[in-house]
Amino acid sequence: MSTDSSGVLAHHFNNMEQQQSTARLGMWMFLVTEALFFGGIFVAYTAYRIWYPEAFLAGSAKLNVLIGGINSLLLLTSSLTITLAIHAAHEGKQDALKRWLLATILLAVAFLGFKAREYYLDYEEHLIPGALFSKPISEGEHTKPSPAQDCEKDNVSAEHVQLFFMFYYCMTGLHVLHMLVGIGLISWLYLLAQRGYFKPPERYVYVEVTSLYWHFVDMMWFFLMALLYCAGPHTMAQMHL
Amino acid sequence: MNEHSGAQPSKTSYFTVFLLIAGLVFLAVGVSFAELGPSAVYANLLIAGLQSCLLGYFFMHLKGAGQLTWLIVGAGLFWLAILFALLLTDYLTRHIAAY
Amino acid sequence: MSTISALHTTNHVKHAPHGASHGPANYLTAGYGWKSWLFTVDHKRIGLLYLVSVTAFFMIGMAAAGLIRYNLIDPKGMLPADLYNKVFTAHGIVMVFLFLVPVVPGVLGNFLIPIMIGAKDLAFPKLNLLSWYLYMAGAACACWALLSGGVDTGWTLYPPYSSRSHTNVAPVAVGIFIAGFSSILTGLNIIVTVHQMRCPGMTWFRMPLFVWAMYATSLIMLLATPVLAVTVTLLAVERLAQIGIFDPKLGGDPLLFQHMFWFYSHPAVYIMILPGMGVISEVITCFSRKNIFGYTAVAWSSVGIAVVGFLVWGHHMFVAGEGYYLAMVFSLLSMFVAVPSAIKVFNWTATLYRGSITFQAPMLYALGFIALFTVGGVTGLFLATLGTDRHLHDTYFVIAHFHFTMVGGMVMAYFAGIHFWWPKITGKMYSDFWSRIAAILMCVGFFMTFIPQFIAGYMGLPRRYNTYPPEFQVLNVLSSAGSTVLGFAYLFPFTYLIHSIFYGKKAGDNPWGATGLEWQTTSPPPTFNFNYEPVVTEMPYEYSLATAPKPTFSYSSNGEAVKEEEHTHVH
Repeated sequence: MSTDSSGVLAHHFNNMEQQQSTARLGMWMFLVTEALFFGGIFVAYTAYRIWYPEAFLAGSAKLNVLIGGINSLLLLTSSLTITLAIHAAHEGKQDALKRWLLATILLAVAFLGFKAREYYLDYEEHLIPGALFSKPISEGEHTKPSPAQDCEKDNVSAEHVQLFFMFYYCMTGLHVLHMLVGIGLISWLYLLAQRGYFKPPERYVYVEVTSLYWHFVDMMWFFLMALLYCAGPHTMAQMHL
Repeated sequence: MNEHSGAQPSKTSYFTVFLLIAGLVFLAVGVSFAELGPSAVYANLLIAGLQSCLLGYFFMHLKGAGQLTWLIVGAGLFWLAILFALLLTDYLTRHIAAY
Repeated sequence: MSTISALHTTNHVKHAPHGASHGPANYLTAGYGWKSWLFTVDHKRIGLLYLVSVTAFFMIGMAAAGLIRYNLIDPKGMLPADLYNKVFTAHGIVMVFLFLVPVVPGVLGNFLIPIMIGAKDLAFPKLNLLSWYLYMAGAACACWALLSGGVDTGWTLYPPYSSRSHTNVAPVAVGIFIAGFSSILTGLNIIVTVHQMRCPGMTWFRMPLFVWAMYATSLIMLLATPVLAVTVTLLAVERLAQIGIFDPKLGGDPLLFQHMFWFYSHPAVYIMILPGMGVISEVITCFSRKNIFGYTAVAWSSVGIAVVGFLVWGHHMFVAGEGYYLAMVFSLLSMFVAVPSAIKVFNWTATLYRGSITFQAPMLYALGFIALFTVGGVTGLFLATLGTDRHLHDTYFVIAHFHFTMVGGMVMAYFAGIHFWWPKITGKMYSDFWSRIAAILMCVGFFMTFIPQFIAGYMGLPRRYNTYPPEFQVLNVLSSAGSTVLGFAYLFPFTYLIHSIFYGKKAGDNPWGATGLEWQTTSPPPTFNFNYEPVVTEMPYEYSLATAPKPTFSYSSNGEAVKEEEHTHVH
């Protein structure tokens, strides 16, 4: 099928097909481990949600579902662009490949930007477990009640709502870490593309395995949206940036 | 085992799937306004599940992937099921009145 | 009967790199200097890197064990309680995470799997090297944490104590995380290799049982370790943020940690024992010159252990407050997990029956394994039974149970494997006399150390205490004396194996006359494992055929090594 004159075929493989399917298999296996990694924290979250349903819904109600939704769309679009990048690599179109990879990176960075904004807003609203949770929020002249006081008013346990927020930060934090790794990988692909690494079209498979990882990160976000953001009741008044 | 060496799905199919998943994003946000209470979780998970299936089948090229790939995905889901089923059984059957 | 062409996917044959015939003779001579070792991607060299490091960590773990046994000579304890807590924690963490989990996959798995399936390397050679570096980084982090201040929670790190203990829990959690990542990547590499890199004719049911066992082990490594990773991450976050996920103060549940921890740690014991079982299958067949009894059963039992092993973790939590209904389910499932292990023991015994048995060191270790692992496994049933576990949990009975399976089982299997494949790895033969003495001494020391612990545990002696009631002193002193013998016995292989590297006789390609592709290449093997393209046409373990290999290495009556003939490769 392919004789190796350009150093594309590694020494321990017999042909390109074997090398490519091995790369794909390896990444799918890795994604299974990632599924169990996230699965661990999801199951812990679910255990507590079974025990403290009202508190978890109350916590979820305080999350910014507008930013959550925007981030969903950004990440989804980046999944599209990276898939188009595979196409470009497969057809040997270097410029298109670089464009789509760059688009993916920019969309991912935009996601992180909105996330940072969201974390800042959460901080402003004292939605952080610990001492801050019980401190009233001073906005210039008047003070808003602290989240702990809100919990009392809504007749849910403040401790349990803080537990929800621990999960919120841990789960979204883990997700952010995975995105950073993904951005690093895609940036590296971009640099390789700059250097002509993807001129042999057989090498499209490395864009494909990176995209598998990236789609997985997107999938995790869908579930974070569902479990963290969409659980509790939201109102139009919360839809602000 | 994996026969991807040639055909790639069409770009149109990618855009269609993209629009479908985007629609589900709006639906998910909409559900959170619907005040379904605790049973909202079923709608939420259903939507996330649908989004993941679409993403996996089309963007991750599970469509047309070999048996081994599907076996790997199946194994992952099976083991997740073990983790969830057995662990959550404790939280569903143990009375929290003791705490 | 050849079925080559159906499986052969190339249309040209890849030969060893140009110049190999006048190039380096084997993988050991293929490069000199530290860079050729620390930057190698050769799976055999990486296996040796693991050998050196696991041996070092084994010694650290043994030193901690020595301190434990020293403390327990006196009912009032020889060490202060705080120090004792740190010592047994260090012993557990080092032995479990830095020795038992990585040893056979890292050393023997890395070295042998590609050769056994006729491949040139693992699927991802660079990832393999990364695995070793991650292992070293995690180990360095954990050892630093344990030695510079220590951890006193026990290797199980249970909150809420581990959330609040003023010891190095967070760095040890980080170390375990990193080492766990190494484990995941090794497992991934092995699984993909077995799927993708088998040579022509090497169908799944012609693979050596060691490869089946390693495949099953790798499944567990891949699927269980991530849950441990997220568990220790959450523990570390809890400590650093001082806000609990498992802390009852916030409504957290300490039992959640135990669920998640044991979801990994129970399958982990199968990560530890399965590779050993794979070794035993290879050794038993060779030294009884007989085909394995029930190849298919033994192969599938490895997978069975891997799967069912995930369904039993709750048996560690019977008295911790787990729900009663779930406890009953876990108890029943724990009975089931014994079945595939029993299948293996029955099949090995049937293999021995009417075999031409010889008692070289690998075989002595293997026979010791069968006896000791069986005892260890059977005592597990007492612990799996709810009523008896109420009495036995957290006593020395549990300690004796897992030391029988892990030390009497796994460590003996590891030594069996090292002694069996040492001539292949180094090309040299060690002293037959001293190796047999060491094996026997190890068994004696082992019995002396751990049988008293079964008795003490049954009589109610609790674990993890530096003091005990005076009536237990005799048993404890016996156990400590035994541990001295055992520790002394471990020095023997260390000595004669290293001695053999420099002064051992050349072993030849197949000193034991064993079947398997690894014995059909040179000792030590060339860098790309074979000087020809291996093609498999036979079932494994065909010792009964007239064409079966014969041992080429024996000792004359005065104990001198005599090489009968040099067998060159050929299938």
